[in-house]
Amino acid sequence: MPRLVCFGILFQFAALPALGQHSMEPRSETHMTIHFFADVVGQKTGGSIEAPSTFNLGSLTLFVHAQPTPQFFALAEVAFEPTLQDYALDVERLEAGWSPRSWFQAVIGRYHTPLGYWNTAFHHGKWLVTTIENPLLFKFEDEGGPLPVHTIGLLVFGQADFSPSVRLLYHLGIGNGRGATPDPPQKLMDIHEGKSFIGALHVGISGFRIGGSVYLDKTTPQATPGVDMKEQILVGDATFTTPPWEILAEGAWIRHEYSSPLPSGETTVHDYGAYAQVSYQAWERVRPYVRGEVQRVDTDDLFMENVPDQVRFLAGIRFDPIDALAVKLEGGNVRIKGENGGYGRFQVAFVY
Amino acid sequence: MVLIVFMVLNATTARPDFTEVQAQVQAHLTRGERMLRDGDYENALWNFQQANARLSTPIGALGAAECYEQLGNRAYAVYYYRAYLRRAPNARDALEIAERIGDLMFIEAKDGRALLEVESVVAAKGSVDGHPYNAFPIAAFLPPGDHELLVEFPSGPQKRVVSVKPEGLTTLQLAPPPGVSPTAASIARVSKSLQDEEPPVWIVIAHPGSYTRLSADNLREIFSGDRMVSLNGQIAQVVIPRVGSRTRAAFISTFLQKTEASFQSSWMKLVFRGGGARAPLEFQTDSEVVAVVASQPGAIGIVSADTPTAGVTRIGVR
Repeated sequence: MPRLVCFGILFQFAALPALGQHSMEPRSETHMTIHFFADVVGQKTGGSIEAPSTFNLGSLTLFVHAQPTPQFFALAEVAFEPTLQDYALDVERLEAGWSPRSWFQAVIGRYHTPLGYWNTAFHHGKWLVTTIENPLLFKFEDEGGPLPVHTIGLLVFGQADFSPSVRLLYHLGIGNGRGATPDPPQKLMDIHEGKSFIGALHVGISGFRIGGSVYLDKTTPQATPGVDMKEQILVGDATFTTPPWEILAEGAWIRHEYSSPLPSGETTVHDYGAYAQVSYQAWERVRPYVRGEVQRVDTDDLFMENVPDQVRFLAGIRFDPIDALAVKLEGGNVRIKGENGGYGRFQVAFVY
Repeated sequence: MVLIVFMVLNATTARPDFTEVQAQVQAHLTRGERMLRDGDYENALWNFQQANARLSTPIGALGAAECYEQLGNRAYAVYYYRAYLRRAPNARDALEIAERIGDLMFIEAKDGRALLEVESVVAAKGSVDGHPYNAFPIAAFLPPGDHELLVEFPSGPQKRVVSVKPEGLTTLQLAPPPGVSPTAASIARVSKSLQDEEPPVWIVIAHPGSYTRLSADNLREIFSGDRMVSLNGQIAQVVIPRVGSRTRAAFISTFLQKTEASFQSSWMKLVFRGGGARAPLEFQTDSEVVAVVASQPGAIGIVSADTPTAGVTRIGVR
């Protein structure tokens, strides 16, 4: 039934041509923009992680942005994600926003947590992303990512400009904390009275940005019934995104403190993740890229038992034959839980 | 003896080769720039005109324009600034020059005058309403309406009436019709407004109270859609003419150096990031753009250079 309601809402949007624009044009009198993003991937892995060559469908993502007045906006990002048997509908972002000044803005709803750069820059449409996949550190919760990249709550943020080139960006947010498992985020109710807190501070100088984020939370993991876990996350990021360069480097430290000793006898465990990615628009429609990344998860961290240790190196090239279509070719090597193998894959990602 | 005389005559009348012309032009330009720096505008102008007569260079046009502006001749200043933009359409200071053109035309427009430009492909003299010009081009600010143009071709004088339009500018190209020698040339009127024959120049306008000057790089950041930009605490709201406008096309292609599609996709990415970025507002006419920029804090827009800009701040470009 909830799915039917969501479909109904979406079709209501689609059935309002007087309000909506279905092109890529910036808005004029109408203040709503709708786009669909989709992608198809083909891949082959080898080595000790060899698997049959395969094609797979990426998620079909619907973006809706509306701005009824200059200071208010609404944004929805709805993903139809393929499962083995079916498609699952997931409302990835649903935000109502108020932006009276650049230095004071607020959204309420489900948002991408401002942890680092990637999570608030690219979202779910793969056409938006230079590479085929998110870095390991910023995989979504339902893909086995280690960070709480979504939350439901309130976010206050802003940008103070000291000159046309120098700016300070801040984020302060509260929301439902992590549930008993990293996925799914708690949409309807929080299992704890206390809320998660997130704060971020960044300095930008033209295309260069550097800063850090902190996330504080408390939950009771499913894997440790009756044992509470405090979570502290620090994320640091430095990026340079002035065309033709896109240079991204981010790292995260995750500390989990359990209220009772774990089977190993420890009460505190630490997990780490980091990546560095460089891409350069070599020609008008061609952008090669490379990325190296690592994810270290303490085997005693029962809350993260489904988040594997990984190291991955990849190189690829993105080609946009037209502005609405990206073709990406990528090869790399991955070490996961001690297994090692190479892979090659392609992705066709598009927007309409 | 005859052979020697022939050789001497031949040597004195032979056309200089291109390298020699370039050297002469360079010498005039160098002298012109030095004199311009020293404030000797009359002699600087003579040197720039000598260079322009030999070779069409952007520097020659810009130098002549600056001299004319310093000497108070706005009509020829605008003519040569426009010539500079035609000769160097991708110049880094194109926006600044467009701004200066807009300023000069605006001053005259306030006094009810519009620009008439007349060019000739053959050597000639002329006059407008009895005011003589010893050579072409002719550039003059005149009240809108009919004016008498007299052209003295080698074959004899020809007279015609030119209608100066109240908005924009009126250009007249004098050319002999096909198959007719210059001595029998007649006037071919191809008067069109600027908007009809070449990409218009633009100016940047902003809601009063924000910046009055911005660097070209800052302007590109604001309009390109690569990141959210604020103007004195307000989220920048870009306001531009709709797709199909030549002002918009020229601005996106020559200043932002993007295609229309890449401009749109940059803004789409930015808007869907969230974070309050506002998609550009598009309007059919320049006057609508001005009205919205005047009414909305944080708004910054692009309009053609001859658009009346009451109620908004014209942004200078560093």
